[in-house]
Amino acid sequence: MNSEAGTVEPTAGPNSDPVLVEVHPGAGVIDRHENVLLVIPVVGTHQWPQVKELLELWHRPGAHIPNAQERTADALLTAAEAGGLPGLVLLHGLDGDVDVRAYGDVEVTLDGSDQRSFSGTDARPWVARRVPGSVSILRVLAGGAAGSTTPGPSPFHLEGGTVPGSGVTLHRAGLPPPLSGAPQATVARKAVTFESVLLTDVAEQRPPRRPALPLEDPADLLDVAPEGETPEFVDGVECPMGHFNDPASTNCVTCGTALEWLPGRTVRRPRPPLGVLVTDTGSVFALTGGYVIGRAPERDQAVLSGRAKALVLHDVGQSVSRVHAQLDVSGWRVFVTDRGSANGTFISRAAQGAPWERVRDNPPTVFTPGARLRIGGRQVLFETYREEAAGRVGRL
Amino acid sequence: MDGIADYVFLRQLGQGPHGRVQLARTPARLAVDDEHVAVKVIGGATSKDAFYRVAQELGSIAALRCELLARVFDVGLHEGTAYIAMRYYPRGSLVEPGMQLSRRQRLVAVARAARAAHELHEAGTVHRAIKLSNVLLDDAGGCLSDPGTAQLLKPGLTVTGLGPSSDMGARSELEYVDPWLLRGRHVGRSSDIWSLGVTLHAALTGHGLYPRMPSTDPLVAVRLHVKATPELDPDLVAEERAVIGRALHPERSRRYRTAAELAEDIEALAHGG
Ligand SMILES: Nc1ncnc2c1ncn2[C@@H]1O[C@H](COP(=O)(O)OP(=O)(O)OP(=O)(O)O)[C@@H](O)[C@H]1O
Ligand SMILES: [Mg+2]
Ligand SMILES: [Zn+2]
Repeated sequence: MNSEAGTVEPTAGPNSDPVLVEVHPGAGVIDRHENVLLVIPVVGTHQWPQVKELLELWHRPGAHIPNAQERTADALLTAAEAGGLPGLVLLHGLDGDVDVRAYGDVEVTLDGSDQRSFSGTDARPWVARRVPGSVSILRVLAGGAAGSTTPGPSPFHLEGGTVPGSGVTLHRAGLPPPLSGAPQATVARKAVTFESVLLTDVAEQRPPRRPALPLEDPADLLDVAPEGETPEFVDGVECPMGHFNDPASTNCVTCGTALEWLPGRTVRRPRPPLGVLVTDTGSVFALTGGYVIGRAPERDQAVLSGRAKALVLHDVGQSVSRVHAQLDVSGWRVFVTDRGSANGTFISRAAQGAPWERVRDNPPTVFTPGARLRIGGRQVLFETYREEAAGRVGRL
Repeated sequence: MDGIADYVFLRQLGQGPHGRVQLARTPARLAVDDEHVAVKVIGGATSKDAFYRVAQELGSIAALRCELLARVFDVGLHEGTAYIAMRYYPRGSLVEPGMQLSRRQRLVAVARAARAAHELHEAGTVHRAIKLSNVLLDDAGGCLSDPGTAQLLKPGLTVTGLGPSSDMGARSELEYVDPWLLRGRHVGRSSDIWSLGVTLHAALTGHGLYPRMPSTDPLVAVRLHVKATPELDPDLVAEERAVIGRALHPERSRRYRTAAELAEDIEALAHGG
């Protein structure tokens, strides 16, 4: 494998773009994805975390597909309304009628006319306008003093991606940018830096081959810990078929046979996965050990030290803290603790409609199969598919 | 038009759970003859650590030089976004083949995917994402693409998010996942063999094994899915049912022991019918 960092000046593609997005230099953020544009002219230092999160939402796969655009835009603006976000403008459909949504202190000017300009503060919570295709120049800048001076022509045209900037001027209908007196600028693109691992010449350094996967799949009887994880040994009982179970279970979790537990009949084996965590977006995580749950749990000490895995829950409203809650597995049980989150962690123990109780740290709260956690605006379910799961809840 | 790194996108080829796949002109630095490549842009930010894990894994798979696996040329990270550049297969995948395929051609493609999975298993790797859209069509009859990298991006992850509005997508993504994984068990040969069984059923019948999901709430969907029993299409002939039934046996130990054994039986179906 050959690892390299490349700096490449891409050449202009054959498809000359009918819409030119001229970016004015500055420290805000401009993001273009084909015919969808997000403009945040000014970002205060304290606003970066929110803006970063907003961009993450914006870059989620599928966020730009036509019927999702509406929803994503609504989510963005709702998040903006919830506070802490700078003024922003969303433009959909750059090459025809443009749907403009302006929020906060931002100014949109049409064909350079002051009479035809509007501000994101003209209406609450935001201004939604349809700008007809006949408008050929559309400019977005910060409102008030920050945007009062008309920017000079910029040679920098955005074709796609996220770049810094203080605003944009859209030149539509193939019109060249109006360069009053300035020399005709050519479409310049910024140099691209990226990291790449070429796999076209891998044969030269053959990496050591891993051993083949075991043939007799032991998963039905005994679970092996995934690569890189040390199995934790626990005491359990075996059903007549040899399936390994929690001594507190009344029936085998695998085959359903009744377990007659006799003291002294326990065996010590690696703990099988206790079930799965299902998030409200349908991601499924194996519950083989601890998790730190939050918006950005990767750099938490428990994750860095390998004691727990990171479970990232995104939430634009900032209702999920960076490190929000923690799950610890001990023996056959799972414990949940709140990690000092802003909004608290709540548990609902039964399937539907059970009341939410706040998770207490002392004594730690037991997280039982079938229970749900509420973490800010998100939910996580502990699912086991054990037939007797409901019966077990009372016994823990 | 968009691009990433030094790839200039020409048009979108498709969209999957992890991002979009774009057709791009081949940059000279790849030193491959193909005029075009397919570039998958992974949605969301990817950390350097995760990127190196993915690059490492795809590197060791590329080192197998297995003709049955779709070729990956380049893995990269550009401003926090990861991409994977691979050979462009103009005939597409078994989901939406760019041409009419006979039953035999479809069976040959799935058999080749099963052989590819076996090669991966023998090299200590579980594919984790075998499905119709990852059986790409080529001159040799088909190859297997996109060994699951989701797990490398997010340790512990078994099923990638189903997305809020994709009840169709949710259904089909879940179907391919061995129910044992949803119960928290580990991946292995047998979980890929399950996915191959679902792929085979879909290639023969054009539809899935489960009734339509009554709820689009993912929390409910996963729970209902695991309690549901897969049902084979009644129009399948006995030999086909036998092969699919064995790949999908509820007990892992009673499924095909290896993907190669499954491949042999699929080849027999292809040549018998
Ligand atoms: N190399 C390729 N050549 C041609 N078409 C491709 C190629 N790779 C993917 N596609 C097309 O793009 C679509 C989406 O592919 P993608 O791999 O993103 O999703 P997927 O296969 O459903 O999921 P996964 O991410 O698990 O592979 C596929 O259905 C296929 O039609
Ligand atoms: Mg794929
Ligand atoms: Zn049992």
